[in-house]
Amino acid sequence: MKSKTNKNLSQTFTILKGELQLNFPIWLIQIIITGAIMLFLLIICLAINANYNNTSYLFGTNDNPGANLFQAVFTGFLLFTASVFSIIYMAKSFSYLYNKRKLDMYGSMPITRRCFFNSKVFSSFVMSVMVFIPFAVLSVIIGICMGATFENNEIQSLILFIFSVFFYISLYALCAVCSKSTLNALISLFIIEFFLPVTAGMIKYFLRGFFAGIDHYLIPDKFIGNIFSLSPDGDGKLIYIVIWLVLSALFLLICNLFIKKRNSENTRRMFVMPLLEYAIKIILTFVAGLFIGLIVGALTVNNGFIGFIIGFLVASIPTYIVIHIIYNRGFTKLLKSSIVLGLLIVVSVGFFWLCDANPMNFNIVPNKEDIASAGLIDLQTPITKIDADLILNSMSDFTEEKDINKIVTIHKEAASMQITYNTWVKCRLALMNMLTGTVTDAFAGNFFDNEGLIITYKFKNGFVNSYYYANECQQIITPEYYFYADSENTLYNNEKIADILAEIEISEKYREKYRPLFTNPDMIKSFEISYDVYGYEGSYYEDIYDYATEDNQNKEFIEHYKKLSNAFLTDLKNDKNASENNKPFLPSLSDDDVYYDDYYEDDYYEDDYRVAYGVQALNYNVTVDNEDHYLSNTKDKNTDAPLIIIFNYESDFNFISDMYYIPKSYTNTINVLKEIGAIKDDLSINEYYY
Amino acid sequence: MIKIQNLVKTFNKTVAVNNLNLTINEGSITGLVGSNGSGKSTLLRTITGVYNPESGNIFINDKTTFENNEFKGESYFIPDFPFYYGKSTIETHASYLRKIYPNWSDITYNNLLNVFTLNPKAKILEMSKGMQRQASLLLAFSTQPKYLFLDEIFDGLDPVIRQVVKKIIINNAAEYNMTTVIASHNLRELEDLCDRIVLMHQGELVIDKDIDDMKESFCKVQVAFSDTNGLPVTFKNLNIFRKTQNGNVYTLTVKGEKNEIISALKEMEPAFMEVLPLTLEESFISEMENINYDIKNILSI
Repeated sequence: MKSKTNKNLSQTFTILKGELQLNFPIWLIQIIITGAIMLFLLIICLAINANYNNTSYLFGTNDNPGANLFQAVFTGFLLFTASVFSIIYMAKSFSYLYNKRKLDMYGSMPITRRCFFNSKVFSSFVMSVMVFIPFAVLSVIIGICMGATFENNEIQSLILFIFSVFFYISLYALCAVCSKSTLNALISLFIIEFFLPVTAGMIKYFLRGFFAGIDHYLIPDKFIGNIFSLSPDGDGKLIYIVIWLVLSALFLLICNLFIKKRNSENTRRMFVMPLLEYAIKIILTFVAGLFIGLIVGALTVNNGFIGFIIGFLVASIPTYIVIHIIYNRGFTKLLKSSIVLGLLIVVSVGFFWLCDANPMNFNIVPNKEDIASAGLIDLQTPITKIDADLILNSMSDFTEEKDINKIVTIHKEAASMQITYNTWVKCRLALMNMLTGTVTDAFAGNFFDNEGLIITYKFKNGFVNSYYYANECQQIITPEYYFYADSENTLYNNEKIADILAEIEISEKYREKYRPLFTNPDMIKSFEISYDVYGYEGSYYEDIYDYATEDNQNKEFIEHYKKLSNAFLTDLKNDKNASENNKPFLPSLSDDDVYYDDYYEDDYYEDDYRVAYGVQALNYNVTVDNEDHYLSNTKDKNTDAPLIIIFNYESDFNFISDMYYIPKSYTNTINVLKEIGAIKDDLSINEYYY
Repeated sequence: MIKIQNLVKTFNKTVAVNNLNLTINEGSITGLVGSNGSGKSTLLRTITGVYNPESGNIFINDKTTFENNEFKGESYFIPDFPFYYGKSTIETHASYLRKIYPNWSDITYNNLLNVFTLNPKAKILEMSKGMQRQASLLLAFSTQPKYLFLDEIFDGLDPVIRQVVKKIIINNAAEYNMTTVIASHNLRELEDLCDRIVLMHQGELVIDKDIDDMKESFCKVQVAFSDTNGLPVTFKNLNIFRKTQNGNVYTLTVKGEKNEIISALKEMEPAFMEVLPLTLEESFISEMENINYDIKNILSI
């Protein structure tokens, strides 16, 4: 056994050596191109550095634009070129499967088919990374010497590439084993790589159109897109490494089973093994069928379901036949393989019906008694990043019955505000979501509305479910295909919801988990004290940035912020009526105590949108009839009105604001505000910014 | 010994080898003949493990040959168009094979370089067809195979090199008990090399015989008679396969034991009688006619 292993290893390295010699011109070109671009970028970035801060090129400061630019741009370029050359190496390595003369030579050699094939996989991987790794290491070292900030994302991307390229090689190996030509294998790879994430995205948007309240964050389309990305974004990247390794092992296992059985001699069909052919047929047929099915369903106002079936059949059957003809060079075995098409149609139509008719009552509000714990995330809370992990973790936020009841009440209210659409409307909703978001969403960037609620439950039986309701509940579709949201009938405008939301959001559990004052205090950039959320009546403002200092940090600000935040947190903790004190009040049109601000006047709008005061994290848009509610100087109008403190944080180039009331009872806070000079003794604001 | 049992190999609907049974003895030099598309190359590829048969087995020392590294390490296959990478030289290819084949011999390699007078640093694909064949043979013999499979190997070789190759094969068979199977559509090439002939036609085995046995089955005699009065001579009691007449001179190909045929002819008191050497081709044709095959449709002669 040991000598067999040693022999196999020896043969593997012999084949690797042969491949390296054979591909020497290609990896030489790769070295030259990568090196030339690196040098070019380095020169430009050094020039930018020198120009920027006039310091030594090496051992620069933390804020070197040239260094950061070099690292970011070169990382992207390196990944791109490594990917391109990796495809070339893969295609060349496995081309022996389609060359009769090469097969004569390799087939008669004392190497098993499996050992030879696996050696080719290994060789492809080595060639794909052997130029990449030194340049990656070099770029990191140069970047650090130039004073670049240690960008975790870029380092991670470089490390992830090593694993993702192995995944791609395994996938290509499977395509190669199943195909009859290099071109066919490459096309198959690109189809799977592109259309699988697109399919996942289409399913996501389909579900969003059909299920009011379905939480699209938990639908793993982005996850699937990341699997097929050489450099996935988002957190939790370690999971992708695990998935890539598992999938690679699976693909290679299948390859090892197939390679022995593979009889490619003189077959007319483009696939030697049918697995890949059926996979591609199913993916493409489903995509075409779903898309056209939804279009026809959306047009069939009387019966969207029948319309969908017609559309699905009209698209899927010809698509399937065309793909079959291309791959089989004719109609050979078309009837036999139509069983797969038939199954696909049945499953797809069945799936559509299940989503449309919802016989299982999926997504209704659960019973309180069945819930073990619950969580709620208001998307207007300035949380730095909302993703599937955050949502799942929220299920354990509230375990007490009274809190769970509050959440269920909100849920019932939100669900009751959703209208039940006809099938054709749902098809339209799904289509519109698909057309705007499918491709980009599947591959990059989290899509989320910044208004709405996500409710997550963990049930006593262990099941977890999550619901998402957009703020604008009623989306109106007209027969003329015009789509708009009803901006009056919104979640935040619902008094019941707003009241309970406020209680939840100021509660200790919620604020300490989600609000930046508690979660990201070190990312503070500025704070302001104001009478209104936009500071139009003036505010006191301090910023962390100071031109005058060497490190650009305003040390006084840091001192003030520490005092202020500590005092405020103490007051907030001691406040037994925190939910009342921080509760927003809804403006009443005839209430003179309500203060408005004409902040939005536009000829395009019939009404002015006014922003009411007293908003902690929610904006209330109230339409008034062109009445001119003049906002007088608030400090004269009402000194009982609480001050608002707004903490501004920076996260991933986004600025988020966390706003709180400062009632008169917050004596510690008020004392600090006086001490730092933000307010006067009469509680009016000391400085004004316009 | 190579035992082939009920071998079937198909390509889609084409049956290239149809239920073939054959035994190839150790140390023998077997000629595999047949017209284009008869299944010779397919059979060789199946024996050497390039193809996996649909059914049937090929045994070598009671083990099948497909994915049998031990057998492949002791065998070498030269196809009709061997593959070489663009920049391969004899030396680079040799260094590759050296690591793969366990019995590789540098002594044999260096000796044969002198015999074939090839430049080891020259690119193989830039050589002539005949030189490429020589390079293939050089590399093959350097692996010191116990089993050698050659497909149309003499194509492109000059007469001198042909004789050299034949000599090497015969020596290896005699000294090292090397088993050789040579596929060809030309009987004349195999005449003084093979000790056994296998004829394939449309994937099936037609003839499988020792050459000596084949030759001894027939006897070619030239006989002349005087005083026939212009009447044709009838040859009773003789199993004549072919008869040509030129005046009173008859050239006969007769099936049977040679001494018996001569005795029978002597009884007819011919004026002249001579036993002529029978070529392999003639034996073959006779054999084919014996089993009612129309040889013209099978072989290119």
